[in-house]
Amino acid sequence: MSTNKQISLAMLIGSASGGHPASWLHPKANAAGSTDVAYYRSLAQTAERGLFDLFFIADTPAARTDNLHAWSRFPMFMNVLEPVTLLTALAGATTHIGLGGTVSTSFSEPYNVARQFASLDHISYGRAAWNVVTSANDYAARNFGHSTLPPHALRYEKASEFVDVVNKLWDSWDDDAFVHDRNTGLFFEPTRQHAVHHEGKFFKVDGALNVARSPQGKPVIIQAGASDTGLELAARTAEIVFASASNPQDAKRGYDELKGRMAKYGRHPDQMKILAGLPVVIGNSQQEAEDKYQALQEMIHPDVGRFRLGTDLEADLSDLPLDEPIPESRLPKSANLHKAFFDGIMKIIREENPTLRQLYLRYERGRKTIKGTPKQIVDVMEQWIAMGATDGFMMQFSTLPDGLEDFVNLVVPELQRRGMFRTQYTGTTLRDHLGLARPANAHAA
Amino acid sequence: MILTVSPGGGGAPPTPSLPWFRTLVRIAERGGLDAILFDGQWGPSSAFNLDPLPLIVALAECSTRIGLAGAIEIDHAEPFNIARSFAAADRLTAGRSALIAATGARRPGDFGHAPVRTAAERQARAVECIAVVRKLWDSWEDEAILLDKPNGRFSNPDRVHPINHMGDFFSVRGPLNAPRPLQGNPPVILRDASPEGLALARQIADVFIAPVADLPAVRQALGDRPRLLVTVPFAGAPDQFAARLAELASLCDGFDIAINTLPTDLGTVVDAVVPLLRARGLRPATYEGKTLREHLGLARPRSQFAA
Repeated sequence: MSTNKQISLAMLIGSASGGHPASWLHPKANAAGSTDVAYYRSLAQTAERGLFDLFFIADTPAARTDNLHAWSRFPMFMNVLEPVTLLTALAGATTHIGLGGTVSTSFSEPYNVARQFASLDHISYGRAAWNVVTSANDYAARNFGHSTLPPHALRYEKASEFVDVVNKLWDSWDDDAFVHDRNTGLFFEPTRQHAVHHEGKFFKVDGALNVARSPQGKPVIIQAGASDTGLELAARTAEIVFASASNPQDAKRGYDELKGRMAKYGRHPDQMKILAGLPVVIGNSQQEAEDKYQALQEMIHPDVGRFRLGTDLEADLSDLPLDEPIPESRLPKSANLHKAFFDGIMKIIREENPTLRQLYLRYERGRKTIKGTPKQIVDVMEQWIAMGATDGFMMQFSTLPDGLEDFVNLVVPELQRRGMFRTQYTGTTLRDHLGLARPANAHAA
Repeated sequence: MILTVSPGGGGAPPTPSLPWFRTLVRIAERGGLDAILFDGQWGPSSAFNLDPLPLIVALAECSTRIGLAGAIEIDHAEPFNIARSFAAADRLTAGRSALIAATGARRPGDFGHAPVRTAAERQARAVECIAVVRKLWDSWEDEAILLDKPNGRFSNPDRVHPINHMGDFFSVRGPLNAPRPLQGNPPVILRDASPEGLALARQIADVFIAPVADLPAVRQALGDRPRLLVTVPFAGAPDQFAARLAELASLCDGFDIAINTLPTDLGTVVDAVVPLLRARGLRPATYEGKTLREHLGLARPRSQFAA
């Protein structure tokens, strides 16, 4: 089976040592890597050697403040560098790879975010991308004067207006506004400024950005929301969407549904790249990959295992014995938070009645890590592409840097052999890599 | 004598690029200057200004010792975001970052939805904002990170502190989700000639930059703690300029030289003025410390939450 469709590849940095909850404990992991710029530089350079489109840093503006007995052994987002600042440092260490990061619309000013990403786009010569999120936890709200997050609908209403204001600010100068004419002494052409006069429900902005339109015209906009409101915002404004289905059939349904919503906003389906999240563990044989994964699972501390299960089961499991099944009396009848995760665990409990330890050792929180040889992994990717389930993949590596190195050294050549992936960068900006047109200024005649 | 420079005015290319900024930083570091300050006001037009924070981080890589200060308009920023950004910047500059806290810029249009504040309210907000930023910087004690693989303990929860701040302008739970900055707290710099600015500096500044006027009175009003730098334009022959700095040196802790023609005047400061100051014993032959705090002679503070 062969296809000539070129895939897009992004890589996710959630935790610096990898996507697995015990990744920092891996003997090869750099446990202090999450604040070490040299470590990130080397990751980004490896991804660039693998010709990735995008190096992406996930973020939430908060540390966890409860259940520290578990979080102190599973430090997700607990000790990390602020993404835009970090990406700027990576811009100087790389030349082609796109640089994306998350900034929440719930706790920032549109002017500041527009300026930060425009600056990153200038500093990286056209490689910036902003992942628009509304934040989904109260830890973040409590750092910004609220006790809980505003309701979902209100957050998205605000996000929608926020993105509009940022887009207007990015267009507040024509591309050729700065004429630098020494003869006439004209630095910029006044008619080529388009001040924003925005007055909405959440924001009132009457000004122009104080930096020229950026190399990509606008930094690339990323979203990942899966709710109806989130999909609507993505259909209207997103250029990359991270999708999270764990099988190609569901992914295909989601893909068609999201791209189908674009027409009513006057957008063509090709103006958005949907990237499916794909966690992988690579081995020389399938057994070796399975063994690597199992070794990681066994490093999960019981406190962490209990806590992760307890979070999604919405029950306190901290006093339960590890080698007995969870008594049904301890569990609520239905989910209040993450219904899909809750129902998934309950299905296993009903069908197999595992012990608490067995359950946490196999629990993946809605994901399904692909464990296999480079060929097997590319077979899976090829199947997703052939089914029209995705435009590319957001790679997630259980451990870093070795997962990424294996991918670049073994999987990328296999993708190239099958004609699915570039053999060199042909452009210089992130938009070039993705095949996204540089947007014209909305004010252009 | 502390010596910093603020690039501004002429000589910049029409759209200053990263290589151009790197040139400035390399020249300044060649002269052993303590810091280079980016207010977002360089170049012939303030219409083309990269955000100073990403800029100083981008400049970290081409330098090893010089301090890199960037301005934030704190009137329009959240303390949690400021604390995070500078915690990252301090890590990425290896302890050479400083926060120039800018207040009072008249740009109502860009943040039109923000409440209108009187000068007194703005000042009170600034004081509270910086206090919250410092609490957040201190929320992970230096010893909080364990990285203890054998026992599976990444951090010690007893040394991580929610700040539970409830004030007039902010309520912030914390802790920061970033490690303590390498400098503990990156220095906070204020530059404001008004009486209100001086009053604010007394409360929140590690470094205050003032014009050459009534220096004994400014020193007294400022208190002993903040470093007092005097802003001076670079003008005149190097020997006269060096002599003038030497003459004023007893009234302040040092100088911030405003460079108006770039990069030539910066080169003159480094190659002609600095050697004269060294000859007078006013400047060290080379960097003696590694962090900006060390250059400024400011001790690294312990976390305010440390037992």
